[in-house]
Amino acid sequence: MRLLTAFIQQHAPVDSTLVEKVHEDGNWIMHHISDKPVLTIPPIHIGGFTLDLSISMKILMLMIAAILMVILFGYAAASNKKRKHPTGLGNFLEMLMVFVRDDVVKPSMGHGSDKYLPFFFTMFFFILFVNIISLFPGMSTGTSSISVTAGLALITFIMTQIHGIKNNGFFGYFKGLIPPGVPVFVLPIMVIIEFLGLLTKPFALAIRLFANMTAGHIVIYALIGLIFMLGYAVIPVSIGFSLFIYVLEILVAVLQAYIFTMLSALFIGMAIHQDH
Amino acid sequence: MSLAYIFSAKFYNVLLFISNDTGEKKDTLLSVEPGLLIWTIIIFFLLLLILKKYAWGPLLKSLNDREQGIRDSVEKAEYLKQEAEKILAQNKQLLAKADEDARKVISEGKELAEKLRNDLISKTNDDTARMIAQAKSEIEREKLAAMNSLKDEIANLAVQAAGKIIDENLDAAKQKKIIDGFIGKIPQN
Repeated sequence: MRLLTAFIQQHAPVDSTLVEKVHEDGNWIMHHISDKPVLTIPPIHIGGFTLDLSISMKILMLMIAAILMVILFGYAAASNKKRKHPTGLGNFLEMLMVFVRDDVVKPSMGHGSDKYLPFFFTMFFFILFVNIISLFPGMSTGTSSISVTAGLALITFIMTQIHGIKNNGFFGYFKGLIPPGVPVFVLPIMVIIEFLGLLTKPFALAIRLFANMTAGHIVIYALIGLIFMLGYAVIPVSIGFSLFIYVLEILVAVLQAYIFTMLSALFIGMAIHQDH
Repeated sequence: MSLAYIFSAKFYNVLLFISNDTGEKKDTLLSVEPGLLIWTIIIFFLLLLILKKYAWGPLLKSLNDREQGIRDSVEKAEYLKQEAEKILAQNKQLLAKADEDARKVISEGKELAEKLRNDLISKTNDDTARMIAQAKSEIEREKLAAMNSLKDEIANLAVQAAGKIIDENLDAAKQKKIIDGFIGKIPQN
């Protein structure tokens, strides 16, 4: 390995200042992945708590995705209303909606899922759009921040509790969390386990989306970084692997939106239909 | 040098997302920033509200309408197909009945014609026979009349001739009786 490195360094020398820069700043990957402020708003102090609502790169990405969604789906709605047979973009988006409705929400939630469809549509397409936008050069990945995914998971968590309580009553919902037929002496443990289960579900959602969306980018940066560490000779390897990871990320972008929505539908469906 | 870096703690810090920054803002990947979280929730619910009104509602409505339309069309087509099949069967039945009727009418007509013909033929035959018989009897009668008149004539002639020949020896009535008796012995033909 050392021989190979020496060979590469000798035959394809890298700009030494660049190498120094990469080695000096060990956090250069972190630097690329982390958030950058775009518009600073003075932090609000509520009691002893400071809330910084300044718009950062990731918030900007979320906003771009949201605006894009409003434009595209608004157009699709108008175009589908005009024609009896949807074409082009309207047709494509409607196909995705049918996919979410029939293959994501309905199997996970069971009957009576139509009422919650707008919520799941928004969730699926919002995550999908944020993920896809992150693949364009110059854009940042909104969902590669744990704060954003935590926000989305928190929405799912709140929705789960609200719909669970709405459908089963306050006491009925929390009673229904504990499976029936549990012996009395196990009850205290079960209460703790089920309560923890409530919290781990959205936690897992947040971590899964965050990790999946971050990992691909880190790998791509690391592969590009290899060029500066090992020399220009590894460019074909780096670019090839980066391209591979990039294509993989397109798959991951769609897959994670699907998984997040499906699990959200599953959790909310479980909270509503507690009997099974 | 580069391999040394790979084995250095700095590299693993990067891999484990542990920041070496010692600035006041602790910026690690795993720290949750409330601002970002709140922005996410605000954007999400704003998006949900806007899209529910302007996109999901109309899109779902048009989708459901279309699906309902397709379902209705299929059902209607199924119903119409059944109806058509029913009508076809009915038509076939009617056609068969009409065919049978026609055949019956034809056979009846044929029968009637046959009967009429037979009747006519028999009637004609009878008529002919009767006419022949009539003619025959007429001829017979005429012949008889002619014969009688001839007999009379012959008798008269004979009487006259005999009277002339025998010269009034016999009176006419006696003569005539003898002649008549003679003629009666003559065969009719």
